[in-house]
Amino acid sequence: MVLDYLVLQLANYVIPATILVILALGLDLQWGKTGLFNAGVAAFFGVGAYTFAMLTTGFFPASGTYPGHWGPSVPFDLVPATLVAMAVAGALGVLVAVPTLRLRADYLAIATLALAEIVRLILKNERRVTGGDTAISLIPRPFDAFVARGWTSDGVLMLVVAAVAVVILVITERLTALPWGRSLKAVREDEEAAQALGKDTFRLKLTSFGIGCAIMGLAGALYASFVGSLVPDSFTSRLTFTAFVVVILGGSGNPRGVILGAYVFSLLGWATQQERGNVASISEVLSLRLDYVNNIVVGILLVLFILYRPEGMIPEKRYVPKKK
Amino acid sequence: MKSETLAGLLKAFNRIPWWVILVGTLLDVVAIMGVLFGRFALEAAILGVAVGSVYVLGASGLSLTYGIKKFANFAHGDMMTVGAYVAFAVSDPIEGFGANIFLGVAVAVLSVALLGVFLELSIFRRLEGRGPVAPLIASVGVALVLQNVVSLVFSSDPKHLPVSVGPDVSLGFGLSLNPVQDGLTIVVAIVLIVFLHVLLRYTTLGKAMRACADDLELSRTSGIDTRNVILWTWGISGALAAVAGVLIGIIVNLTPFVGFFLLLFIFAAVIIGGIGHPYGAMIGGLIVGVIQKLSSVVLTALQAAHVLEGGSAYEPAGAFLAMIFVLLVRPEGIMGTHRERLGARSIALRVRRATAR
Repeated sequence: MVLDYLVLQLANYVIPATILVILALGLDLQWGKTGLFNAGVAAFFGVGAYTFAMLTTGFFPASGTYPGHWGPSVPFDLVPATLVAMAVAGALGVLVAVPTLRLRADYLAIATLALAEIVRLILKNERRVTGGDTAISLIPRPFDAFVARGWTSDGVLMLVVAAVAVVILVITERLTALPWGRSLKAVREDEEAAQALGKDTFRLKLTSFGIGCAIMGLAGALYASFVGSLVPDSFTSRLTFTAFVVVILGGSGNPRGVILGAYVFSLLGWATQQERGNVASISEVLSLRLDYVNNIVVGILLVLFILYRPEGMIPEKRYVPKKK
Repeated sequence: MKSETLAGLLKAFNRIPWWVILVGTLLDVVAIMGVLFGRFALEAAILGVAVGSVYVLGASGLSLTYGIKKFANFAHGDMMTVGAYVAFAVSDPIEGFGANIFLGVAVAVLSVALLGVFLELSIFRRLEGRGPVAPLIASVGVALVLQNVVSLVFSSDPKHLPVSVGPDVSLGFGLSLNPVQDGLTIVVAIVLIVFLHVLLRYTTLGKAMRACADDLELSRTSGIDTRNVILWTWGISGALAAVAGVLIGIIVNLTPFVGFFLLLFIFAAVIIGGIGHPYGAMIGGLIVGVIQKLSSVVLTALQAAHVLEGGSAYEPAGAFLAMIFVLLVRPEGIMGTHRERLGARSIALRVRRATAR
């Protein structure tokens, strides 16, 4: 049974990495294309994941071991649930962006960081609504009716996630090729100049931020489907840092860079996981330490890239207008 | 005639210093809460002032570097953590060297000040002229490195600083206060604020720091050694962060993420006070601390009423909402430059302008 082992291994690397690609594409729209610093990536990802999970599993009554969670009495299908998750994450983004986008660039960072903390606290504490620290589980995967859980299900999910990533990639590329997308870059380079040319920069920033957050919500929904059970502590600021590292390492404003960044970065996580799997006897302390070292490497990489190669591994292509 | 007396009245109101109005409002809020919730609210207010004075130290330090370097330093909270852990390592009898806690604090202050200088020299100086977001991201990287180095060295188990806290002292009316946890914190904060005030107002260095925060280019052209001043600012900011870290280590247990968690409150204080205004940051810290603890009283009441399940776990939300409110109403902060926009003052100014015509 070589095939199932291979698929399992491949899926374990490809699915998280591709979800990271989608998340990073959302962030790239905000940060790479428009220059908005969103420090609450984890919040939008988490809101998307939880909305999806609650909608697809439906209402769960409280029991002795489980506090229950809210949801519709008839569970949603996966596609409408995903769309709602995107809408909720996007709406939350707009809600935060409206008061802060008109202000200095760093206010948005601080407000979104605060939002991420509040969202995490709500997910953790409103046990009757979200299930709290007891995980929401039994989240369905696409085509559950046709394929059994196991390596086939992983393989199918891998294809679905990859397809979604391609769709998102095409959509963001088409969007940014439009005048709208070029105006975003104008806002990033010089907001006052863009204003002087008659661009409504607030609206541009708002739409870009909202769409970016919706894409993060989509990534969250896919993540929920992949892991099958959600706990609030998966959505800490570490996730936000990861998304930023991916975008900055790969190349802000360039989807090829972002994709490369996500797959390279995921190698790091995958390698530590393998290490853990191989050395089954390593103590919990050592495994925690591996995490710390991992984070330190990420931090140092972030600083080094900002200092010496701010354009990332694959720099953004310069925009050259076509000659008529 | 009538508008003149009104203008005169508002002019008199205008002479009341802004911070008196704010502190007065805060006291009013505490009094109203005291009537509504009784003893709990007053206890919460005392606790809020104690926690707030830690925020005051953290926020005024952050505000100093924010004012000159013009970026949000996300590593400031972790500089506090490092300070607390250095003090722990020097003074803990079992895991550390067992020296006197005061020696520990001194070493912490010195090492975090040097850490600040090192960060400026190695990273942030090279990012000058790259806008506010590039150094912000670099500081996120620094924060990640600092908190994980601390985790690696000290593990993530909670630690206690070797400070004996002692029993609470009763103040009457059923209120009590811990002389070390509340009293010492507040006293240290006041002493350091006075120190910072003297430094900023009366010394050449302080004046140069304020000049640099106002306009770095102009300061440079007027012959101030701005690089030196920036290094000193990082040093002072780091020293204040170290003290704040030690104080928070006395109030709560130390974990490697304590500073990063506090960072949000400190940002809230800095924004409420107006970015780059150390005096505003001080008032902001006090406001954030008191609102945080008072909101915990309200939230506990809501929990009892089965509206929320979380209760006082949501107390950060109270402080953040205050921050968002300030961002909406007065984005430049209470000490910001557009003074005309401070509520009644703007009315007074408008009336004065109208009558002058």
